[in-house]
Amino acid sequence: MTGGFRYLGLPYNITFENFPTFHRRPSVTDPLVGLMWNRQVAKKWTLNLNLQGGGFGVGSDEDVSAVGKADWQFAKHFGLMFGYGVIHFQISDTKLGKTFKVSQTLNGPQFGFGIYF
Amino acid sequence: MGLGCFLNSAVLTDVFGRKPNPAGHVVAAGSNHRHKLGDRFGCDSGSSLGALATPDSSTDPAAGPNPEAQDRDLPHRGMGSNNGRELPYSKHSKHSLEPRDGSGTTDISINRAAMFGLTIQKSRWYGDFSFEYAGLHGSHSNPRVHLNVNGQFAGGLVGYDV
Repeated sequence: MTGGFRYLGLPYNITFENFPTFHRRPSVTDPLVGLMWNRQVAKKWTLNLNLQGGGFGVGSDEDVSAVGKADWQFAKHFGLMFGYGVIHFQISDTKLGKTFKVSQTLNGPQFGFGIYF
Repeated sequence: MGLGCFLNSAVLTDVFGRKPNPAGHVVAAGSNHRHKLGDRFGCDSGSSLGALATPDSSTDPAAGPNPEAQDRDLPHRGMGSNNGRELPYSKHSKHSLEPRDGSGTTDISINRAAMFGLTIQKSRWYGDFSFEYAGLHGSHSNPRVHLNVNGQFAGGLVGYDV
């Protein structure tokens, strides 16, 4: 069982022709609960599967992610990680009676270098 | 232990991805960017709006292979037209968005990126923290637009093996 948080911030500024620069700092912080499976399948290999969900309207309306990873500890203190992750979130914001809704699913590979101590 | 670049590539997808219009042309951006991090890392690229709006030689004899004729046509047929046909965007371009020379490029780059992750395992407890940051920039010359995005992604979790 896991519990945690996820923060996603996307501050940006836009300059259009000679108009003043436009700044915004949208961000959300979501509480998460989830399940993790972690198993050493060989002397140097460990598999990890992590499912998390949350948001609950605190930050995002929905925030769901799934990540699978394989850790290869090729030396006593060093290793490599290969994985793939998917995250879906839905954010809504109401301003001046209008609701702006973002529903986004992102996915892609992950690579990491680990230092074990 | 490790963390990756999937969010960074995703940020590129969302912020700078432009899909072609139903006719298969990119009307306003001048470049139909693909979104893979490896493709875009530190690269500048773009295509000419004028090239996208090159008049159809079958309907405009003056626009054939003569580059001077094309250049003459570009201010009138640039961003807001497609083979002589008015696009919806052109209704707005008659004001502040009116193209001055009918051409431009869009470039995109990753200026900064940083990643950090830490995992701690002790008996039945598991803790993980990760942080990723990417500073992205995109610009277009006509109309002159600069966009800076500093994408930040942080996550932390604590687990207990039941």
